[in-house]
Amino acid sequence: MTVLISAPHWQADDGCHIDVRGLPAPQPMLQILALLETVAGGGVIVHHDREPIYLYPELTERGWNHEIVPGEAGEVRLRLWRDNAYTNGH
Amino acid sequence: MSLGATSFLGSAGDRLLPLSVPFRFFGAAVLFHLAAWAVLVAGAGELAAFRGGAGPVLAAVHLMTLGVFVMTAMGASLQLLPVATLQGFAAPARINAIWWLLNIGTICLAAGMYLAWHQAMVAGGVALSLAIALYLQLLLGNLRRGGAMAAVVAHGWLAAAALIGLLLLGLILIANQEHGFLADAQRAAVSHMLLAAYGFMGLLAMGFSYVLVPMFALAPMPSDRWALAALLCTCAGLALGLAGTWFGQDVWAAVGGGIGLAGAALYLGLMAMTLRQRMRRKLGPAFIMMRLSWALLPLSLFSGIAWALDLLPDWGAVLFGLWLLGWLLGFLLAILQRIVPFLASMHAALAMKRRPPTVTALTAAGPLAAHLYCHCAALILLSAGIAWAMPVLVSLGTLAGLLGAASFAWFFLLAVLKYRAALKAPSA
Repeated sequence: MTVLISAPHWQADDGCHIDVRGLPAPQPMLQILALLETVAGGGVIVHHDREPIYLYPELTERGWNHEIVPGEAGEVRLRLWRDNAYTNGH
Repeated sequence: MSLGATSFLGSAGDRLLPLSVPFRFFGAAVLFHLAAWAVLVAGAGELAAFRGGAGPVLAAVHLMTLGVFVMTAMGASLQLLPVATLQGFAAPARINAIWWLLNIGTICLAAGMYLAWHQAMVAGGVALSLAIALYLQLLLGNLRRGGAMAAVVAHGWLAAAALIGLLLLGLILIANQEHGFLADAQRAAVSHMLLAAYGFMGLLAMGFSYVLVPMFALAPMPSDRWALAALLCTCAGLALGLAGTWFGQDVWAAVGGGIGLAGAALYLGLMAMTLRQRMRRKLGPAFIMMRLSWALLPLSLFSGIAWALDLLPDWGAVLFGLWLLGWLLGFLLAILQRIVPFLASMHAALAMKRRPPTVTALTAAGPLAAHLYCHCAALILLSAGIAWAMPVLVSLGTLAGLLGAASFAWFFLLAVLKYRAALKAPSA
């Protein structure tokens, strides 16, 4: 089934942003994965309230990389981008 | 892969134990799974007529319950509870001690039961009591501090209460082996089994289902209200079942089983609804095992009710025990085959500066398929062999179980080796 993206999300110069702070688990993971299915290119910036460690295997499986970037106080901000080697190989 | 780090409470380090910690528990569970089936192969001739008492069947049951169920439950809860409660564990020495005590206690107790050796049973009981006391200290501390996921936390509290009850009854039963002070040891043994299966392990299995099934299927969590309703029915049914067993009131026990069935129906309904809402299209073989185990939960309750009401022949009690163990074993092996590669991939993602191995790459499909067939064959052959009093089928069933356990151990070993190889591989 398709998960509706109900978390705030917007397009900016550095990519598509999604704010999943305050959502109960596993909604942040579902919202982020649902957004990734709609993103054609470029990066995704995730605004989270904790490091989403259980998201990482799902990102790897889908060919996405991640890194933690500076964010606001009390926020864990992640930048996600497609792995070209993975995309070309699949 | 994670280039940055954070000292904020939500960082991975606050909530995550080193991979070696859960994997030591899971590795021991995999070995005890093999040992339990091997002992059952040796005691296959006594299985159909088993009514309790020392010997290979009792030893195999405890290798399975303590060695596989409790070992897996402790390893998984130490890794996953922080996710539910948002509170970390910071007690590596205590976790280490729990692992050693649980291993030593299980081996001593099973050896004592196999050989009818009272001193070994006492030594095992003492080591297990210490392991459980240390575990409860960690578990209850975490549950007390945690505020998220009310239904999961409630399951944790009640599972802990059941664990204390089953431990006390277990110790009384060990003492009774030597001193024979119980008027009816059979009632105490059945109460111990009910508390262990539907109490501690059952409640943990149900509680973690509400976290793990949505996580693995990529689905929303079921509502806390319905999960708590299922919990209420399960606990009410268990309490009535225990009272009926203890006071010799078979109708109470049967009514307790009926209320437990209502709880199971609610729980299974929530699981079915969760799976209907999932994002992941292909669930994989772990969920075949999971569905099989779910089918055995109501089957165990129906057979338990029939046994309480004397509607089954003599072998009814053994079949009830088999399906009860089948439910929990199937559930835990389904979780293990999903969580082992998942955790390995997650830890690799945190540790590596390059692409970590995927869950798919860490999952050896062949051994898992072999395990699934053998596990199903074992359940069918054992059920048929017990019901039709055919020792050949029982022996074949135990052999199929042993072969399945070896396949599962092969899957686990390959996952560990692939993970280590990925960490050591030079960067591209």
